[in-house]
Amino acid sequence: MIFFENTLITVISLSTPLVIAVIGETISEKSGVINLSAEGTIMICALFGFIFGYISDVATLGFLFAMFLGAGIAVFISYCDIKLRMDQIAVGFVLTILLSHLSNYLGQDYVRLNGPMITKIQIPLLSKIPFMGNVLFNHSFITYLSILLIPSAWFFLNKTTIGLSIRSAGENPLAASSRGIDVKKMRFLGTIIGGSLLGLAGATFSLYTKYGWSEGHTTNYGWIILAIAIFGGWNPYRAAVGAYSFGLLQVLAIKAQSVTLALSQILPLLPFPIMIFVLIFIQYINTKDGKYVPRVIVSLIAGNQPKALGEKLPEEIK
Amino acid sequence: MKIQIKNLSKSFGNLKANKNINLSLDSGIHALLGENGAGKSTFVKIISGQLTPDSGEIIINGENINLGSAKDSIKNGIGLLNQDPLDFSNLSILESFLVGINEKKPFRKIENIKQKILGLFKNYGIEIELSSKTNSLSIGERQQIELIRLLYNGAKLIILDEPTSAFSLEQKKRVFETLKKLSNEGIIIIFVSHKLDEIFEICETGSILKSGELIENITKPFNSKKILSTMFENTEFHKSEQKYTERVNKFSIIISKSDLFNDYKSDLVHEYTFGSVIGIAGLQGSSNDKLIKNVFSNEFSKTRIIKQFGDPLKIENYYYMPADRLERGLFKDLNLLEHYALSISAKKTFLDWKIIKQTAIDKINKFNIKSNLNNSLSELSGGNQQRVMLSLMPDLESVLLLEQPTRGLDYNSANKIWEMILERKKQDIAILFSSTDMDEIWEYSDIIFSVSGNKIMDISYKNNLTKEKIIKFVSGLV
Repeated sequence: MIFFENTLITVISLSTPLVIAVIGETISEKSGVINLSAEGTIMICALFGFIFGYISDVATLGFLFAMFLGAGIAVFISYCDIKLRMDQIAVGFVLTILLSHLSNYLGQDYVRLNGPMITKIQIPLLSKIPFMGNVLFNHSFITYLSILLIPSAWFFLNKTTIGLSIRSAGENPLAASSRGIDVKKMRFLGTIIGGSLLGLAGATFSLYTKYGWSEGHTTNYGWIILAIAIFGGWNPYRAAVGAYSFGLLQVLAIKAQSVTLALSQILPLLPFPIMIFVLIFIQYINTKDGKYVPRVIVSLIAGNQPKALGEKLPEEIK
Repeated sequence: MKIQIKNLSKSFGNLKANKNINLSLDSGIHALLGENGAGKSTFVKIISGQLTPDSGEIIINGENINLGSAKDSIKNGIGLLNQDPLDFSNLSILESFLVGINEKKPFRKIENIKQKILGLFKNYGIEIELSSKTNSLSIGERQQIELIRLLYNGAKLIILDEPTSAFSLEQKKRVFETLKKLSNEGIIIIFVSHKLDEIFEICETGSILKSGELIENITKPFNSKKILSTMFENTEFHKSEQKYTERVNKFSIIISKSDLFNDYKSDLVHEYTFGSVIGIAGLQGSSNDKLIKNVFSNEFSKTRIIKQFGDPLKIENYYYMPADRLERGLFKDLNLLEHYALSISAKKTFLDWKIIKQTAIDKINKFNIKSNLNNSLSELSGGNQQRVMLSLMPDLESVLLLEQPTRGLDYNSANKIWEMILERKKQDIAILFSSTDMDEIWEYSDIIFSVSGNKIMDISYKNNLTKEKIIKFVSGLV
């Protein structure tokens, strides 16, 4: 039981940045914008979050700055998307390459330094509940934030007017605009919220789960969260499940090191074939033969890809 | 409500899409007529706030409205029902209703909104769950819901931009009833169409646009001859009465059982003479288009066309023309010359631009395509695009498979297209075309297949049929 409890605690805290990032990416994609720079954004925000935390010795400042930086990068992406009508994929790729190399270069002086620590906050009363109390209510504030983020993002997208407007812009920009919705503003908003969450996720790596800075500190996490966003079918809850499952495999891998080395090397790789199979399966559901797949499974796995995801804004929207 | 439109003008580059249009309406169903490219869509888009005019004003109940703002147009009671439903396939119907209304209020009472929508649904006889997703509905249903949504938004003036092209007969009837009811309740309706029969059926007044100008206002009773001659003034108006010589050779169509969802026991064989025009009639949403496509692709079907003598038909002998011109028929970003290059030198390693250019110029003249060789296809009008598709027909003796060859074209363009198609009767084996327009089927076919849903209801020579019979067959009444 203790083993189980410990594993869950580690999974929840280790998955914190993944959850934050994948929800950010989901919100951005719901507005129709793929933030393909996730890999680069997370990396550079991890560096600058750490630098700010290190200089000021206040972790919160590091988190805040990383959010601003992530939002700033999102502003640039939005400018390319809305004003210049450039291809989102091209912009994202170039940004990723640029930002990840830039962070390696700028981060040389900050390798293996000690920055500020963030402490765990036990929530009074709740943390006294046996088992659940330890698993859920004995974490750092950033982990609480990531947990709260899941239902809030769902609520924001599905139950608020702005969320609905953002989704409508991502589904059919022309229709949304003909109903008087400022599509450009909605896309901008979605991208900014998404970008700032990616930034926050970056700082969470360097100030919490993968404490410190080294070259290629967050390599590949950006690509992973892009895949989890698809896996999550653009639904915050499912995206979170994806992020936690990924975290679980990683934790199991670490624990397996003491048992067998082979297993500890295979487990971290497992998400990738699983991801590919799920994507193939989603594709299969959409084909003719897919109708034999039970409804329950379809509704669990198939996602609501925003119709206008990744598309340039129509010329009619000036 | 009273709407006055004064001196509205809009140009795109050199093209004057709207020139000093004046119009004043206070009730009834008003038709907006004109051939393709006459400026109807521009006019409609300006009124609904999607386009900003270069000059002019729109006055509603004595007050000027902000031009070029969709929000302002909606606020002033103007609603536009688009040609293709402008909705959100991944949202539920309720959510789709909520997009863009009263969005400034932080809290909306969803329950009240639901009741109001359901009330409207009941009033206009719509039985659809509010929680169902938009992409599970047919296009007709989606258009109906869009219409209700406009009402819900408080529209006092509803503009319908060629709404019926996607409707089945049944749906059309229902929408027309709704429109009449609305008109009686005092809502102004502007009905854009080039189907005269529809306009005669429901409109009381109308105006005719030609090259961006409003040239005539008309009122009931309408005179169709006069309207046509005004619409197509200066354009010659002749229908070819050419007689085509009967040809002797015969071919057979073997319709595979798997394509026919009916009670016939075995595959069907039919024999016709060369050069027959076979019209496949069906309502919107029936599989008449699919039948055409099936003949072309081996993948889904075993339906075959076989010559009785001579070499068997090869894939080169088929020419398939899809209904979606820009999506499946042509390459919208390639220019005209490149299209000919693709069709002429498909099997050669290097392109011979001299020959290609020569052929292209010949074809452009022969098929009367109004365009430069360097224009990309998306810049051409619908009629010209259709002529380009026809001009790409191979010179071989072929089987032409034409999916809705005149879809979305006005009367005059459609006539010209048909002249070109009938020209091929002399050389081709068979011409198969599908259409949802029964007049077109009746006018041009020698043999008529009537399709209802997935079923072929009847196959007969035209001589043994009447138009009423076909309509019965395609509606599924035997």
